[in-house]
Amino acid sequence: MADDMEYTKEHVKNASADRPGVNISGTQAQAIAGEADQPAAPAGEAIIESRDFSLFYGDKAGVKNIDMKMYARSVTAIIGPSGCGKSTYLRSINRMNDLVPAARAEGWLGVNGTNVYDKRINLVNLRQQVGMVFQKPNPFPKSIYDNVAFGPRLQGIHSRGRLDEIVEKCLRDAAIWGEVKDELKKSALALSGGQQQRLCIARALATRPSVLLMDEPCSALDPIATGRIEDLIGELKSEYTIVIVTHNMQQAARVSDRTAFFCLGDLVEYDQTKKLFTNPSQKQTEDYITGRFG
Amino acid sequence: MRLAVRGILDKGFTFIAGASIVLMTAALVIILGPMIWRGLGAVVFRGTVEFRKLQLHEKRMFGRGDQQAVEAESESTNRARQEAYRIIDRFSRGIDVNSLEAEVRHLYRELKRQLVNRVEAGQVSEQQQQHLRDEAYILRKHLEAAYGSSSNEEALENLRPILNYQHREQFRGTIGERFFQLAEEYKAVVDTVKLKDRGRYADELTEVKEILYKLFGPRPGEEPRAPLMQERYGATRWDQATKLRYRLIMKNTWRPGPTPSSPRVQVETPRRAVFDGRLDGFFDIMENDETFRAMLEPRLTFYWQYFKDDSTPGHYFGGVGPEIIGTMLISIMTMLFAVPVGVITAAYLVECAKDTVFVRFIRLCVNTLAGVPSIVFGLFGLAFFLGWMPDVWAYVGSWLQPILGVIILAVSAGIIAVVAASLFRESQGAQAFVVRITGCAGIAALDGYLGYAFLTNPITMAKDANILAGALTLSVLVLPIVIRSSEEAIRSVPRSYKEASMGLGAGGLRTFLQVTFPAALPGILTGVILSLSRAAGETAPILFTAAVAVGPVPNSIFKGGTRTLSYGAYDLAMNDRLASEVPHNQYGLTMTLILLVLILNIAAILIRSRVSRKLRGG
Repeated sequence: MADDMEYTKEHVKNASADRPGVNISGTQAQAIAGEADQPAAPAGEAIIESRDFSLFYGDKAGVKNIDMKMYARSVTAIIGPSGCGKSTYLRSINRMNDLVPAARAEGWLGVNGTNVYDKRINLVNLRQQVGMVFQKPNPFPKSIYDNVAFGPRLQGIHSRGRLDEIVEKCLRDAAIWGEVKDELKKSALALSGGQQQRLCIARALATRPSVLLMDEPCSALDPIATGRIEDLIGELKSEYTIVIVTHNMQQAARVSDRTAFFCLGDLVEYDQTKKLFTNPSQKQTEDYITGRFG
Repeated sequence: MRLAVRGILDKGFTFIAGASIVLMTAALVIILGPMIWRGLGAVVFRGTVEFRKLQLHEKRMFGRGDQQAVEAESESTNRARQEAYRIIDRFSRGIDVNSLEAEVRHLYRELKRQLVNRVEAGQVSEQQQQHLRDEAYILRKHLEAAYGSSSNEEALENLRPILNYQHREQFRGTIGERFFQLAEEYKAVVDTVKLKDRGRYADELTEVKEILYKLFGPRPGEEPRAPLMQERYGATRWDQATKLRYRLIMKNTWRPGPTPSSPRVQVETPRRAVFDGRLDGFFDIMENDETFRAMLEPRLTFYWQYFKDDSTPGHYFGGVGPEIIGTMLISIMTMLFAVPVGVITAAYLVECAKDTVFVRFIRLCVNTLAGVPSIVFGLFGLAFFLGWMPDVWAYVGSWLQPILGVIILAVSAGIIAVVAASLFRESQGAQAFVVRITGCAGIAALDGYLGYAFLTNPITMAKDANILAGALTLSVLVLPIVIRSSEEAIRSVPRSYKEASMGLGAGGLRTFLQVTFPAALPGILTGVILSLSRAAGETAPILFTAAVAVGPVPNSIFKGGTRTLSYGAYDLAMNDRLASEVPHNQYGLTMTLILLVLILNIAAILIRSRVSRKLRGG
């Protein structure tokens, strides 16, 4: 763990040293980077917080007026019927929605107390803070090693020894090291779907994020691969804050500590998973989880 | 029932698809096959002794072969040819009036000189000498009259005083005796030949000698008619030789058509008939395969140096070396200009450009340019790269060039500093260290040289054909191909790659360089292959800007045009009267072009498949 700490500090330093003159003020950089400096932040503290947050695609609202807090070192699941805005909300957290030209945000969405939609935010730092795993496994058409090393290299880590260290650790964390350790030079595209998804998780871990966003990470996988990813989520919980979007309610019940139910862009209910699935306070939630719609 | 119909349709469709592929392949084989086959004739053929002499004696161009073997061959062929020459010579003695008259004049002059010498030596008196001279003059006049007369009787009449001359002993021991020999010889001719036909024979004999010269080159000891290389050697190829032999044996004549209004028809008649059987001995030797072979000694030759040798003007002898170098230089330079510009444009159009009027206009321009005939580009190149740009460069270059030099030097210094710094910042293996040190030195040397060259030598752009102008013109031509294929390739990179890269914190430029571009590389390479082939094969754009028909091997891209394969084939077909005599070179040029494009394509396809295999993880 001591080794870990050192590498984390080192690479955050590198990351900011690599980009002099970024338009982020010192305190904000501290706030964004601060998380990495204190990996032992107490569990249960709100790390992602949105206040009256809305995101529009042109005139149409993707999500509207969301108020919610997600807690460090826990798994938060977001469920809801198709088109309810759960992915939109998830992608808002690391501003992946910016890729959509007409997207526009209103309200406050904070990670570690900093509004990510602030104009002065450094997107690079934000996205390294808040990693993302996508619905379909999307490893780069490069070797397994280069896939995992992509993030660290962005941060200016080029030393072979340190990269080897990071790659091994991340692959171990993502529970895929045993399967690929002998063929790190092989193309990632030669792996199976489940392995690819775990590789993508390893790749996301390599930037040392504090938050890991997962956008239906198992929807393209078979049950066995799904089971392995779910186990992995359980293991990662001790170090990372995980937000997972899923339309598999059993999965949400299995892996998450808290669950949010979205419907038509609104946050309908947000509570402890156990409570939400056994004793929902909203009629709509009950209808959804009992399969009356959705 | 419906299922059965569907099955039949399915099979029919498969059949049509298969058939079309077979048809395409067949068409390709039918078009390219004969080209390559006939072109191979320039490389693998039956070379005669003349070919080997040419290769040995033309030291500057070829200078290869076993001297002793070639000399021995030359000896034996000369011996084989002797008999044919002897028959011709004997026949032409009676026919060639001018040379006979010249000989008589020469003889008289020699005799006079001899007589003067004798007087000085005191062997004969002045009077005797005077007498002999007068006698000789009379003999000369008679002989000349005999040579000049066109009827046999008149000739005999003139010869008679010489043949019946009483005081032959007067000339004993002098050159004057030759008069009587000549008269005897000529009497033999007069007895056999109708002097009336002599003019016709002379013309025919000139034709025969002409063909013989083309076949065997100058006779031993004879001076070549002209200093041209093709006048110094006979037929170097057996196919050429047999063609010439056919022309020697058969004579083309024009006869009136069947009706007065119909065109004249060409007929072939055996040439021996023209000489009324008087040259049968000669024609027998020439028609006999064995003796004819002995005169040329054809042997299967693999002339691989064809791809390396220079050629004489008009490709009469030699290979296509300069053409290959020129074609490769122009194509590669074209790629150097077109690929970076094309890929960057494509990247801009896909990644950055919004759908504005301006961007739509650019797209329209690119698509239109792809359809413009290549000769238009040729004329554009002539006007722009040869007419306008040298003037502008002459105006701007004088102050721009030092700036460019300084920039290059500064950039190189920067690169070296960065690499050197990285050497000390990170602990690396010894191998990486060496690699970087060498890289450093390499960049330093190259950039230093470039910067020095830029600073010291003012670069001028020539206003007549040069490789740079040709490559620039061609790159304008292939740019649309590169842009469109690169655009497609970049567009077809999955969005998820980009999302993943962005999600890891990479910026737009880095995402493009490290993720999108490598993934699009196979597709981009496809466009590069297509445009490379196009650039190598185009004629019209370089017609005015870079190509020349005759010239040295290119040694500068700024000055002086170059020969290229495509233009060489065009020029040989259009402008050179010798082309009909060297059809193998025409096909040889074409074949070399096809092979070159094929090799370039195969190389590029291999690279592409390697790249995509690496991407797919095969």
